[in-house]
Amino acid sequence: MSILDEIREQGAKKFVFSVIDDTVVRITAGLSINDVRGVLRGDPAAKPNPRVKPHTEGFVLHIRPTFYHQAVTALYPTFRLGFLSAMLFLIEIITGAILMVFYSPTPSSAYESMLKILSGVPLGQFMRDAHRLSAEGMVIVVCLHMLRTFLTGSYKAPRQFTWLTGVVLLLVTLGLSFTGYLLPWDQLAFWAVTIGTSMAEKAPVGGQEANLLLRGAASIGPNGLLRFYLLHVIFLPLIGILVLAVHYYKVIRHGHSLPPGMEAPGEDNARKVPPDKRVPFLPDILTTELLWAALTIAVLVVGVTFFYHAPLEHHADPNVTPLHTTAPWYFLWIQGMLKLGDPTIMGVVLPTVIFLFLALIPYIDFNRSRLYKDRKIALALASIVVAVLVVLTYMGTPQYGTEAPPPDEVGFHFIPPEQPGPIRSLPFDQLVVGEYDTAKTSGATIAPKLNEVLQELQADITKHPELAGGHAVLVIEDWQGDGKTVNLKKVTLRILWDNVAQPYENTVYIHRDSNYSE
Amino acid sequence: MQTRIALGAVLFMLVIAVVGYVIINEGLLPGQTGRMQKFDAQVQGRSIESGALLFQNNCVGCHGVQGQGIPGVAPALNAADLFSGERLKKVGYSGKVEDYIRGVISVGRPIKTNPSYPSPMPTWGQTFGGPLRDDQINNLTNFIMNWKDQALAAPSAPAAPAVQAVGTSLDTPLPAGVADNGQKIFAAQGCAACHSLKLDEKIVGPSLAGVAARAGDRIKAADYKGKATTGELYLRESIVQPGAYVVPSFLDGVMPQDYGKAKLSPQDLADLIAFLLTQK
Repeated sequence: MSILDEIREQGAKKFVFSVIDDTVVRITAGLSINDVRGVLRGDPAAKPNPRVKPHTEGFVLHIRPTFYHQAVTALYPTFRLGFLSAMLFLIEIITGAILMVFYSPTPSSAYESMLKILSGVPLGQFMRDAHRLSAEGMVIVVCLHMLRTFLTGSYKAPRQFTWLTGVVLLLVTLGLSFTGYLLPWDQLAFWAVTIGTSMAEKAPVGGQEANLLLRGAASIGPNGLLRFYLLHVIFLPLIGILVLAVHYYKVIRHGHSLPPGMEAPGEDNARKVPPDKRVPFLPDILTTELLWAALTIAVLVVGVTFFYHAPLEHHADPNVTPLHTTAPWYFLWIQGMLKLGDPTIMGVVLPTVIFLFLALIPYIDFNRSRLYKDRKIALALASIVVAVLVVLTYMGTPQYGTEAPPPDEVGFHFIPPEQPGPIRSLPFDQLVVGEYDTAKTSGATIAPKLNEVLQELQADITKHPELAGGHAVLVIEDWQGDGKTVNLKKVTLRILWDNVAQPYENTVYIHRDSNYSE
Repeated sequence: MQTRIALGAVLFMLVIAVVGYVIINEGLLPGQTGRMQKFDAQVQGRSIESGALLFQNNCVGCHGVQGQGIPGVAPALNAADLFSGERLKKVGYSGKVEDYIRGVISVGRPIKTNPSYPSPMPTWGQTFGGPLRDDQINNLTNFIMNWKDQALAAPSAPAAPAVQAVGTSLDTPLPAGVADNGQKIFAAQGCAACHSLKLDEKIVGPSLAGVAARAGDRIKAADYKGKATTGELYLRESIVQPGAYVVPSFLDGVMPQDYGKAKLSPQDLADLIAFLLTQK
């Protein structure tokens, strides 16, 4: 029968409808327009249920279960952390692909492409901030997801392998975050990654080689940047997508783990959910997930529009090591451990053992019960680990145990090499030319905000007992202008104290358009 | 479920609204000063700041603290003729001033082209074997270009406060010198461009490390032809009458002759000598 015959037989209107309906069935892998409307209206499913077809016949939903157990649809016990991780991963892929269009991974062009993304690409800053914020969020959410899985004992039989893939995904997340850290090629990126990779160098076997393989040379340069870029955009995402698929598929095989006590030890619920406890994926779970997705995106979008902007420091300079350089915050705990003892043990052996132990927990733990009351040791261990991680992270920050000479600390606080700091943040018109001594209180004639900074300076110097009798001199000079107004000022900070051999001096130039105060 | 869909739709519209707000403020319309334009200005400002610091660390020795140039060492960079194109015409350069500056910094003046500047400008760009990266050369160029308006606004060189020059005589009395101020004059007058303060380092002229002690010995040397009778006077003589005595193995006539005639006030000279006397 030709198309024309069909039209003649059914009438044009009916024919067009049937073509559209057919198309919808193909796209949804089994749901007609009426089925979709029924889903959206919340009608009870027909029998046989057409709403399982997208799971059995379509690709996208085949790694999602057709129904959830009612017990896991509330916020507890999952807190939706797994979904949130996957969601953030998807956001990373989309925003990352957009950023890739404008980025080129060589030391001479990387930083320039960052400036181009921020100044010349519509929504460029928005995309970069979203990419960065969801990356940081992803690290947090993935860790919380793992903590939750441990606390509810969900890693136990038969879901050991799901846990193992989860540990791989944690490593992929950390790896993605760490490799992405280098790409802006600013001072923050360069030194954080230099510190991060130098930890690997301390490994007793193969450390030098691993480091060389990663950096492509003795120090990070063109080769290192390219390798980090390729790891970031191809290798790690591929591994991530593959392992994520396995991780999701395992949820179908074993079902979501119910709250402890609702499952017998060693058993899963995937095929044993009584019909009255089933919550169908279509439409209940899907709409819930879409709501969560909308909420996540809304928080992210509002966050990067009004509250968060990813940092961009000066161009990477291998010759200038900024004071107080740290690894990215999620590796601070390793930096904290490094302050405690032998770098080989603290920086390499222990972290390796920790991650290995983490991966093998379900195979080591012989306690089959998931009940909280049977797992006092495991739960105590988890709380200790969390507490130790928090303390170690604090110890990794510059506040702990890395005190530079006092005048350098004061200078660093007031004119930090990368952040704006109090002096650069002064409004340009309050940088009145003159020589200001914090020890002399002339007060009234000094511009108010400048006066505040001078007093803070004196207070900060007084805090250091080594700087007895200390005071600071701030010299502000006009430096360049357009003939009528000045647009560049030179500010010299000098710190003097009793028995000073060599006064501390630091110079900073401040341009009117730099707008640090914003 | 209806609540979920409604709530989701509201959130979705919120997202669209916020993204719309961001787009409106990006500055996509011609003439609009949006986020992108502000960021551009910020980048330019910070580039000039970085350039100023690079200039302070690398260039002031020859081109002067304010880029005013040092006669006999290096030309002025804050001068109108550089930005008006006169200087470019003189050397037969037909490109833009900015590119000329960038090019000269990058390549330097490895071949001596101008007899009034005996020491050649070093190569600065990494591409040509120097120490600075392209972005640093750019920052420096932006900093120097920032003198443009100022220099063109005052074509007849900003009337420098006329120095009541000390003269070349060794007999006029000098006020008491302050070594700290002398150190600043040493930098401002570009002495460091030719005279190192490290022992035995020869740039163009002799190193001044240890000159405080050496000055007293020099006047007793057999070949000394000058009129100084003390170390202090020897230093004064060397500054205001550079030809009176030239240390063996150095050339006569390289050091500018006008420090006493035009550049230093009596106080400046006293300060400078006081500073040199601290070089023991």
